[in-house]
Amino acid sequence: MVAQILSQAGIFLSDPMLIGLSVLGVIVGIIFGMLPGLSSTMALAVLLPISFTMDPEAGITFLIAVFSASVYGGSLSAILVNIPGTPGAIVTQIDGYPMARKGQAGQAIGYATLASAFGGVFGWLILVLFAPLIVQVATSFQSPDFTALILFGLTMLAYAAPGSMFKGLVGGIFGLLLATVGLDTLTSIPRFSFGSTDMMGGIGIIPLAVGMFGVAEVLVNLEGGVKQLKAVAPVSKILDKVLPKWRELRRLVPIGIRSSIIGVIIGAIPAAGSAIAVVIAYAQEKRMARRPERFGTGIPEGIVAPESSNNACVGGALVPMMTFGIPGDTMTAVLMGGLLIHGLRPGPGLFRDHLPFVATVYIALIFAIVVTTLLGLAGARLSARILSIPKPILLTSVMVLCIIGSFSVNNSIFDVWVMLVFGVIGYLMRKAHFPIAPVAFGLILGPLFEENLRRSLIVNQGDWLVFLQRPISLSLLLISLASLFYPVFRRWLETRRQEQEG
Amino acid sequence: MADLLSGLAILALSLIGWSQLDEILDFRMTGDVGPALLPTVYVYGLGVCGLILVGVGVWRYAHSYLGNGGEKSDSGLTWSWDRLKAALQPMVLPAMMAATVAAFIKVVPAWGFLYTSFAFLGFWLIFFAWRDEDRPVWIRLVGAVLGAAAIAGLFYGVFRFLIKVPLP
Repeated sequence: MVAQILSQAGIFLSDPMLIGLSVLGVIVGIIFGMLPGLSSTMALAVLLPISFTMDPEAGITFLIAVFSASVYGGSLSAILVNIPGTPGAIVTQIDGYPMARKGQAGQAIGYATLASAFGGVFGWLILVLFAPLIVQVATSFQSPDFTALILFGLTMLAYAAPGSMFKGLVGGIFGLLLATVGLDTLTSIPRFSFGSTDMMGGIGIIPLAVGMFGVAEVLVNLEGGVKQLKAVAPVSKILDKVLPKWRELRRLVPIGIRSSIIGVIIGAIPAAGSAIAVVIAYAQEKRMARRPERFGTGIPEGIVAPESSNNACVGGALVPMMTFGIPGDTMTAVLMGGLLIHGLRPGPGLFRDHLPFVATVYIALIFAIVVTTLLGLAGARLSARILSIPKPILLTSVMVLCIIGSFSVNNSIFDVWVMLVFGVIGYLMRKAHFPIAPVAFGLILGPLFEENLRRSLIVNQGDWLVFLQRPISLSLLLISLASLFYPVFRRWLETRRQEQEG
Repeated sequence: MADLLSGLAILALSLIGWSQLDEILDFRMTGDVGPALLPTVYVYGLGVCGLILVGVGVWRYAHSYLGNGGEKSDSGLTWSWDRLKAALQPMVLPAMMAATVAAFIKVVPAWGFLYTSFAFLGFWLIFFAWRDEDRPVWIRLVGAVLGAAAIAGLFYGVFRFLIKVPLP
């Protein structure tokens, strides 16, 4: 396989068409990722028809570049204007935006870019070297294991949120409750729809996230009045150094490795998605930190953990798609559609009959990661200039962008109303010092949790013990329990140590 | 005060949720816990959290009323008109923005995105420019109108024709 990849790399790098398509895909992917409401899935869906006209190698090179870069692009808007371009970037803004507000936007983008590259390369290596092993683990996951995994993600939610854990918990439950709005997936019974047909479709994550993060941010900025809006940060302050010091990077490598492992494994589990991975990676680092209270104030660790995990998911999600033909998420499902249209069916047969093509996919992914990193670092100063746009223009433009982003998901005006309502709720939550990220994650994880919990119980005739009988679910439940009590245990230990010293 | 108000809001939300539970409680399939189990857990969970917040809010309020030494102090409970005004003043512009976005959503199906976004941007940019006293009025107003037209046109062009979002 390695020899095949090396020989294919030579062909790839000597073909200006493939290189050009990869660069174009990266640019388009970053732009789609940056714009709120335009998800990676939408980018792939919109651009899929363009790839039909190309040969399979060129088509997949373009689509993989869009896929990989759009995941990274989401972090840029999260850092610069506090609007996560993709759900995976919701955690990045917890520390990224405060860092930008401290006048370190360039550095925050630098950390995000390098962490994305690290996670991406890590995921790629795992894809190339250990795909069969990962698939074995991932496909052994059944509904009870999924339920336990999501429960683990949920227990991490309150801990990952900055500020009060209790308020994080309230936000998480609010998000979970919002996730139950609409038709029940198993019985089609309407819940909390108040007789509205629009509400029966449920509350979308994009309108909610755009409202709670984007609209609320605009409203908070307007609080200071017109005079304060005139105060534009000096460009020299915004354009700080982009590349972090080598010593600083070395310190962050273990965080990148831990978070990437989480990203690859969770990315490889079909339908788990990057949202769970970023929450777990961030909460894990916060829990392990000597001073967890610094998370949420704008520190590099808070950017490196979610970004490396988010981008490692790309390689992880490709593992089951390439080896078994099982798409890990909606993005890989669209990508798989692109392959099928070219007559290539992902799975063991692809490796047997089209090995050079598989090698091209691998090369296209690593090349896209390299191009994304180079363009990300080179364009960091340019991206950071967004912050030097006069605030009246920036805020009103962001508001129009929020409206377009919410509308474009389903081409629905109702979604724009949802955005506005949650924008106001998000604003009031910020005034009352409630973290917003747990609401968004509750909404993402809620349907997955309920569906898997109920499916497990239906399959096992309502036997709740099924969660304790499977080794994976039992282990995950024990880890969840340990995570819940760890902060209490840690505080007890510290108090005891202080007492002994005193 | 924020804890008390947010606690009351959360309690109200859980009460609304609770009032809706009746309709879904009876539906379930074999082995299934039914569509009501998790909503019920969440509604009650929110209710408990709301009660805790109200309790904490009341305790803090009473504490600030009694003061640290147990002596009565008016600082916690007295809500003069000036204090209320000072608390609400920063919310005027955000409320105005929310109202104009609501107006945007209401009129966009009839006017179309291009004209509505031009009107929205024009209103806000003129509003901001009007209060910017560094430059002559006419320069500020012409700049605001041209800026609004340029931004609305750019967004419409990019999203409608390049990304093919079917904007109204």
